[in-house]
Amino acid sequence: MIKETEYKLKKSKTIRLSDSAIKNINYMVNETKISESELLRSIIEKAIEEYRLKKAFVGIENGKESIASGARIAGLSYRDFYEKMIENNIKANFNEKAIGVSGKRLLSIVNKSEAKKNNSKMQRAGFEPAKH
Amino acid sequence: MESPVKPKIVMDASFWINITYLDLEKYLVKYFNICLVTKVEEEILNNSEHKIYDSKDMEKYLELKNTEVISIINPLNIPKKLLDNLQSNSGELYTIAVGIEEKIIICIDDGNPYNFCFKEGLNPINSIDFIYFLYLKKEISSKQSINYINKLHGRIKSSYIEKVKKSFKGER
Repeated sequence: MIKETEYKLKKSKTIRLSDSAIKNINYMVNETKISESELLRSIIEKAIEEYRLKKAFVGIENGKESIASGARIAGLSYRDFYEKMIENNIKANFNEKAIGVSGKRLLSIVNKSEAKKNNSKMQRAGFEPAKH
Repeated sequence: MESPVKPKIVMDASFWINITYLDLEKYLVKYFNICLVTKVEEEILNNSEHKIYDSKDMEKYLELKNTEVISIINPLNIPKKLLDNLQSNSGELYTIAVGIEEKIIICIDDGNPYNFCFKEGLNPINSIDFIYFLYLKKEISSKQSINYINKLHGRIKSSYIEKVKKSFKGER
């Protein structure tokens, strides 16, 4: 994850919170024994990460984003993002019209290459190449 | 006279990750000369701050790179159409550019750029196409093919997988 908070922080934002949110924050500060500002920072950062990841996943699922562009949206490396996709069951969406087409083409390329190889072996052995 | 070389492929990171996940890289090596671009190498090796260990595919990649089975190739030019449609400075962009420049097979397991290649008539190969090729080549049986495809359920849309499975019945 690209940590955007690794540079020096230091812009403040003031927000108003409900009584119950403040109660919860106090409870969490007591539980975790970390400072209130550190706790709030980590909650906000986590929410931002989740938002970016979710946005990237939506893009992948509707076919608008690639893994590389999704990784950029999520602020992750290609590899880390691809692993997150697998963990979260986010799947590649291929054009169904392509089914079977490329596999057959690949077979024909390989077969042609092998036929050439066999012909040149035959030539080396003093035989004429096969005529098709 | 030298014997002709195997066909060349250029692959992206997702294809390599999935093919090694399926343990099918030996067939890639058997039938093809494998190339990839520097950016894809970086994506495979993932030298990010979060990397704790080398995964199996990273180790396999390094082994094949060190024995010169895999080679690095980079494009001289990037066509404008690619720049307009694909993520800038990405493995997919340079991989497809090399595929066009060298007129070689593009292997990619990423939906968006795969579909772009298909639309442009570049005949891309994904891991399922590769399994289908192995089936047609009689390297694997239809049962094995289905098993391999089932392993990709968490990575490739189920509707696509189900349609593919039907092509393994009978045709060879």
